[in-house]
Amino acid sequence: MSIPLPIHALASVTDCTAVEKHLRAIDRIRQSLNRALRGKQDVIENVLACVLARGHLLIEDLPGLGKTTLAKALAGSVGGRFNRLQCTPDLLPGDVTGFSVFNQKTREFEFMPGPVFTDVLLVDEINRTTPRTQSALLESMAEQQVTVDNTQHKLSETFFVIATQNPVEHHGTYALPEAQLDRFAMKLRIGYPGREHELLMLAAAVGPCCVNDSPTPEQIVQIADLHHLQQHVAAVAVGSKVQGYLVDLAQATRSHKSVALGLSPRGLLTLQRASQARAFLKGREFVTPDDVQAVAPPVLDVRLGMPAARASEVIKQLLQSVAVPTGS
Amino acid sequence: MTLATAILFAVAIFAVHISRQPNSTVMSNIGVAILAGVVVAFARIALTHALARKLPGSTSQHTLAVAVVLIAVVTALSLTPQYQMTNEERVMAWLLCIAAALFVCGASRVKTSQSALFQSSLPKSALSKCAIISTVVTLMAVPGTNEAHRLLIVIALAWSGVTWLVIASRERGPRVWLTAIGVSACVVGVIVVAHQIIKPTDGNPSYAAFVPSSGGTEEGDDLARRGKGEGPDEIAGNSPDSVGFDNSDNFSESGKDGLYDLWIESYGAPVKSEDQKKMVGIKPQDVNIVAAPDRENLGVGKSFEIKRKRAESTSSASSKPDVQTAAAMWVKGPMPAYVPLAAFADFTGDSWQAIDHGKGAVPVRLAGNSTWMEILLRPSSTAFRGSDSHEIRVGNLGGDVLPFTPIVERFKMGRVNKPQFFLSSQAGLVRLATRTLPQGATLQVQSKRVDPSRLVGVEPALPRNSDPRMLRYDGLSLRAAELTREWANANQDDPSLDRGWRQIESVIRRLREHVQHDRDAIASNENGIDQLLFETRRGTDYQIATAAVLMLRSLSYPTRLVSGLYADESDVDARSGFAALTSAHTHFWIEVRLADGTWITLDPTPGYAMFNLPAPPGEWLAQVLRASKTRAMADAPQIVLVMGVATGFWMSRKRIIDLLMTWRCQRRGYSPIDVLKVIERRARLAGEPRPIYTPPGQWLGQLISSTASVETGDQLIAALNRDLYHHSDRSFHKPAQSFGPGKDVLDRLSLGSMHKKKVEAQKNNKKT
Repeated sequence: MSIPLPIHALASVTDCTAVEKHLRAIDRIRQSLNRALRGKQDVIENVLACVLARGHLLIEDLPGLGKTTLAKALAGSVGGRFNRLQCTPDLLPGDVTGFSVFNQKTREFEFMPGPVFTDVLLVDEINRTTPRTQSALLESMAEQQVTVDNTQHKLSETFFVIATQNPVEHHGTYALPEAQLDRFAMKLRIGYPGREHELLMLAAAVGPCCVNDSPTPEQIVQIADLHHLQQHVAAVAVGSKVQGYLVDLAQATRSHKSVALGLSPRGLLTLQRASQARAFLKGREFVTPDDVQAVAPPVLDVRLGMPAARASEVIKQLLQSVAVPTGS
Repeated sequence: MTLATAILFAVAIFAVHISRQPNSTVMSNIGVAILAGVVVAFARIALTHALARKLPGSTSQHTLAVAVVLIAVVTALSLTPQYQMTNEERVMAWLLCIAAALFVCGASRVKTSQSALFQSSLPKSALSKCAIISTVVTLMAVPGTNEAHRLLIVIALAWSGVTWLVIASRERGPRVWLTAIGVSACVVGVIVVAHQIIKPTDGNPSYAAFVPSSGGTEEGDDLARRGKGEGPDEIAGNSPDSVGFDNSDNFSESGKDGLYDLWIESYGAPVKSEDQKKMVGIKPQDVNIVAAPDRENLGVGKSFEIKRKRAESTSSASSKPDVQTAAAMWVKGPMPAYVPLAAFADFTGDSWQAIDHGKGAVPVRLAGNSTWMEILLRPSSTAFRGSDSHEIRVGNLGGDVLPFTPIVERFKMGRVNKPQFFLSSQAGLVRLATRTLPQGATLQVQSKRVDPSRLVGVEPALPRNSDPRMLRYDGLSLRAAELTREWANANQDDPSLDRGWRQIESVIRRLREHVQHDRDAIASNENGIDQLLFETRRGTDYQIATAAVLMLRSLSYPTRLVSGLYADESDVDARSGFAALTSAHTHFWIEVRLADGTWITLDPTPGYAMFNLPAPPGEWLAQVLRASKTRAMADAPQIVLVMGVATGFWMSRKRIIDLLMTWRCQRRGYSPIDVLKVIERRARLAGEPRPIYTPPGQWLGQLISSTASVETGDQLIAALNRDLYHHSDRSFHKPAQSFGPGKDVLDRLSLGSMHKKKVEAQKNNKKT
């Protein structure tokens, strides 16, 4: 009896060198990001996982902690087009998606693409704009397309949103609706750097006069390579035991008493993909529960309806309430 | 679990109800069962909810309050005529109330009070107290497990004990000894229940083999019936229906005359009176024999002298190897069993005269088509509650009185089923008409059981309606009569005041407390009763019984002395279920007549059952302890050996388990998963298991980083993760068969090192 060999299994055997090449590339992105944002290895690890899982990223923290720096460094090292959208309360949906303009010469309406037509989109201070404009981002994030005047416009294959926001308690913010939050793969908090890293940062700031003087991050991978990497991540094996663990975890979120909104099936898919990405980053071709546990906090944080102050505590409880599958 | 406990308690309550009201209808029984279940469940819910709210006061005050309320309710119930309880049962009920209060109030501390009915976690202290109480009540209930409701109580307690223990075992605490008490309670309960269900009879040889029974030639056991020294196998079968008299030697008539020989063996020969002594000196030819005495009227055993010589030595007689043949009879059935063989009415001051047998009418008839012989003129009394059935096999008893239990209803004696074979006597005993009782006869006897709690409502017979012989108390001194009145608390002028069963009970109880039973005590002077009551306060059972008869007669209760054989639980051979009765079981007791004509058996001798009921728990416990002591002395080397081995095994159980696991892992070539299993087991044994939510790879990494080399550890973890999680429909991975460095890792992470780590961690915790 012959067992049909899955294609990607063959690929993993033959493409050993290719995998190593990819991992080296990722290592360089990692180094580049580490230079941009010092002393935040675990945040960067999650950022990378999010990119490889082809998910959108939400960074929430106080102003001045390096959210935009990180986003710009990532966009730079990945290459491709980079656009930035600064959200204000008077921003309109058309400012995001683009709009049709009457061309006097051709006497036709012509579509002027908005900032979403790019590879990496940095949406700064997303919760400063109105829910109406926030919703305009929904379609682009979920479907990777934009509909303007009944015409659908395709976005880039590697369209990737990095949104930053200030904590919701601050003045002049509009909380993101749940539907929008579910489109993001992860929510990360950066936090203050440690003492030695701040010293390093200060030392590095002596010399350059203005922002433009700082070296622009070098481009490390082509945007096509990133797409290739994302396909590789999607093929990382997930054993039945680990999938069982994922489902158990999802069900635990739905029955936990402090969680108002449990993990949706889409969220579960995202969790699996993020775990795959983490396994890939660790150089493994299969997912272990360690991967799930490592990516679970940012993935669950963005989409579980729970009091923000207790989020990390509740997620810890959730993880501790589910047994890790072992044995045969 | 708690719900199951509630149901079991309800069943126990129900069983008590049935046992109290045997005549109740099916519907009322079901009603009570449902009611009991609902009451228990609702009380539990209501109390849990009420106490879950923040009431003023501490938990111990709540417990006290609930316990007091419950005890009050139970006490009130126990005083109603329906549920008259003995003191012992009342104490059991009180203890259960305390346990229930502890249980309920302890559970109320749990935060999730709504689900407390179904899953409860109790604080350890409350559990331990519950466990102790269940031990005590189990021990109290054990002696009566022959009765169904008592057995159910034991089952319920054993179950709840197990429940409490299971809950307690989840929480680790310092009170190990309390848990140990709980364990013993459960063990006792389970053993008793199992023993009652699987009886160690010959039908169950595999269990019977574990139960010490006498036997063989070496053991000098009184009741030897196994091995080479077996007694004569004179009985063809065990069923009374299959046994009849035939002409074989075994069924030949015995030359012995019943009780007389037993008395001589047991109490010694009577002291001959002066005129008899004189006659010995006369030459035979000078004696003018008037007529040979009629055996019926002047046979030996028709009187009993209370002045006797000391018996030769009862112990030497019973230790004969062929003691089996010396048994007068065997009894099987509810114990203790009284078998009256003679009744005495007239007391002359130094001897009792048996009630004349007379030529009674045929007292029995064949019941329908069966082989049961029914006693005509069966007594009926409101004090009866159900019947007892005994199987009796006759040994070398002799005589012609059939050995029945008191208040017999009907009996079966094989093919001896013609009414003309039987005669009755004035004493109410049944005799064979034409011959003495043959050896090997087997009888089945069904008799009425008397419920002592119902006797309170029954009038004793009035003096004017009674045989005047049963009321004479010539031998009683004035002092003794005064003492009697003091005990009876009766007015001298009007003895009918406070007349009733409680008075009788009071006198007998006080007498039992006042004197001590001593089988070798001999009356030395003229007035044996005064000597017994005021000087030595020790006496043989016939002396005590004589005193009791005369004392009750002085209060004008019709009373008589009865002699026969007595057997209790300790005489029963576990295998066959029979108690072998020898001369050592000869006994005297008394009977008091009720207004409805029933003679109620009463035993004034301390150490014997008072009301033909199971012995009180104290005595039962003493018996058990005595028996265990004998057993322990006999088997000391084996017991020490077994205990040593067991202790050794228990002490080194962790090492043994670890060795087995390691050996298995080695045989399989140290595959990563096996290595993980061994290390996980060691961590569990060391008291710090892997948290269920920590992935094994991560956990192993932490352990290894402190001891083994990091490189080996990383290899192992990588191989382990691959083996554990690299199976799916889309990919396949064959688990590694062996892993070289596994042995190294196992050697470094030994059980001992893990223990050490645990201890150090505890020390650090204490410091901080």
